[in-house]
Amino acid sequence: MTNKFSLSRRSVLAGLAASPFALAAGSQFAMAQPTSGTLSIGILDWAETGIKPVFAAYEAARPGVKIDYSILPGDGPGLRQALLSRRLANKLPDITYLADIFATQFANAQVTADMRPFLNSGGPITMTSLAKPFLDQYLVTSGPNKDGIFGLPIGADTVVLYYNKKHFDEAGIPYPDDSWTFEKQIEVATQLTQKNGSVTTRYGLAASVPWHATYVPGIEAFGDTLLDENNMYKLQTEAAIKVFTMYWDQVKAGVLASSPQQTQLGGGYQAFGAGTVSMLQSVRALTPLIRSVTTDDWDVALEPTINGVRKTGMGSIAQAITPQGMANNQELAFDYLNWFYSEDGGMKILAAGYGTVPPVEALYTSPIWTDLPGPPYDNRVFAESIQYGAMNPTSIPADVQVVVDTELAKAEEAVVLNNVPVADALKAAEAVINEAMARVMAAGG
Amino acid sequence: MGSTLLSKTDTADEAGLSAIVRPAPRRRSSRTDSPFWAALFVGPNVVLFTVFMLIPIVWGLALSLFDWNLIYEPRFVGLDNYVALLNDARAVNSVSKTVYLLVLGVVPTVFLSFVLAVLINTSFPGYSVFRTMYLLPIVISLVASAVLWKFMYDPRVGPIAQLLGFFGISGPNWLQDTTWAMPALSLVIVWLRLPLGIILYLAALQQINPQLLEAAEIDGAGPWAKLRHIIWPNVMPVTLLILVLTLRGIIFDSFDIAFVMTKGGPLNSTDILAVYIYDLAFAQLRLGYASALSTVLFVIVTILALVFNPPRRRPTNGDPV
Repeated sequence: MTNKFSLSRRSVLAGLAASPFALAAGSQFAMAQPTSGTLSIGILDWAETGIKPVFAAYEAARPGVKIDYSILPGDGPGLRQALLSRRLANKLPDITYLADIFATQFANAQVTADMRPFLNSGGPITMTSLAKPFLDQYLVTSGPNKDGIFGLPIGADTVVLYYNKKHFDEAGIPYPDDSWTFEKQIEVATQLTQKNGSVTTRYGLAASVPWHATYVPGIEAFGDTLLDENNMYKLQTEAAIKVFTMYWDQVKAGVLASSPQQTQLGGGYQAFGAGTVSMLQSVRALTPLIRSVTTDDWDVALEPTINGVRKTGMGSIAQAITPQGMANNQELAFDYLNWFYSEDGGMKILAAGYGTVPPVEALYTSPIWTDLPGPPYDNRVFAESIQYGAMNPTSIPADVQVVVDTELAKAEEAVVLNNVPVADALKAAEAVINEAMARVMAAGG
Repeated sequence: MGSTLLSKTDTADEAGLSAIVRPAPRRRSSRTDSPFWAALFVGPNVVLFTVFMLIPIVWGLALSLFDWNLIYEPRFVGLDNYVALLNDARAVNSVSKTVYLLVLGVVPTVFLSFVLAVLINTSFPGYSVFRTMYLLPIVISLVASAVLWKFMYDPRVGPIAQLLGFFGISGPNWLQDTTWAMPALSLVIVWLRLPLGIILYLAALQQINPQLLEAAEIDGAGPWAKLRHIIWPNVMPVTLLILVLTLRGIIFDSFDIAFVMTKGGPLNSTDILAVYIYDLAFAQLRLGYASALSTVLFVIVTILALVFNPPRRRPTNGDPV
């Protein structure tokens, strides 16, 4: 069963604008295809299943060309360590995957190269091809590489609400819809929560509260920002305290499974698949894994509104040519990326694996992914939520983000385990985070 | 004439001088006595020790004087990293948590190893099964053990919770409780360290002269008296060895357990030095500062090793040990 959803004017215009250009550029693109060589690509471990068919298809489309891929750790610190070590050893692949928080750091460390030569090379993929919000995540805004683009997003990911239809049916509760508010979500989550004494055996909702994709949209929904004009964290604002209080109250009540609870359940999507979580905040990129572990019927819905405003976390991993790739294998790397982002090339195969909303605005409504058999059925949710996206500020250095994640996790523990007031826990976290921010910025970011 | 000339030694024997010690006949020198063969056999170990121990230690000491994040050039900061340690609340906490873990881990390991070794140092039907069970943890990897025990401690489906529930007891969320998290980790570490202690104690127990025990029994000594006055003093050297090995093992092997099971939480209650060093070096990329903390850990371990196993004067011929 597929759901056709109404096309937004914006996406139609974007598609119309893009298609003639793509047709024209496509003919030019078809003229310069490499016929030999090896392209080395470093991919994240969890992305291997989805990307292997893409590599196989490219090799089939380019006889004589081989893709030699290597696995990089899927966690942030592991990824950074692996790539920096390879750079020191002069063994970077031609193309590497990366996450948005590392855009500036990897640019400064010469792990990634500026992608503007590729985007301006006359191929079908240009500066305006890829969705601006996601491309902007990899725009470096300060330092020696200012204004460079150091990554091309692989998907247009937003946080949506995955829900277990069977749990809702058994409880006689209507499925989530676009009118849901945060309060309604919690009310339903409470009804769906099951306990054995004081131990929760099934959580109504799973949401990682110390994850920026959870708290940044909430703070913006209350009309504030995460950082001040000096790039320092503001966690003592009314908005920040409200957002964290909203979520942590539910963690304390045993209704919401945050990161530690999800870990105890074996992981967020694993818990959803096992039926120990009824609703899950997650992203399209994890849909293949969710499909593989979930036997109950399920679907997706837009994230509820907070304070009458709909905001949702947004982001994407990316790929970038490395300096070694630019120097030694540019032609092959350019050709691969142009093919990767084409509708009948890599994007079609990647999207067919359920793991991606193409980061090309012209493909937001493309049947290559909207017409895939469910679950999920309501695919319009993924494209529609992009307009409500709230990004983690790109000015946050990667070294500081590590501290942020740690301190907010500790703040959560203090509130949930020791009943420390939210304001006090956030105050302590803010002090450590801003000390790290000052230190890292003074050292050049 | 025709008499056989007798050798000097024969004459000496007949003269009753056989008690005189004759100089040993001069042996032809063996090929294995040469320095070349000594170097050949010792060399690989020296090379490995130098490459994997000595050089990293020296490199780490040197790195502790720099500020480096793998991206920019290392910047010499002298002793700034060590000064920063003194004002680092998390560093102080991690040292105290490490000491706490040592107390919870070393004493039970030594005590239980001894008791179990004494108990299984007998022959009864099926004793080999018990012996195998107690020694099994030594073949299980640290990470696998951590994953296994994480499941054991699960408050919903873990066997410990199930067992407590059978008796009507509602146990804590062990790994999410700031009071119980460290004892929970130390139980895992003791379980992992027991086999080595048992093996060493078993070997020591079997070295005890059985006639001492028989004599004590004849004199009316009961099991407790034999344990206190004969067995325990005789295994004292092994006790010190197990102390040092357990100390070293807990300080270094506990990283795997803590990282997999709690990652230093909840609320830094299991944030031992090894976990903090890992976080500094690989998550925050503060390699110089992490090296300084590693140096502190190295000094702590060295001091503890010297306290419990001080270097002794090498025995020479005729000198008592």
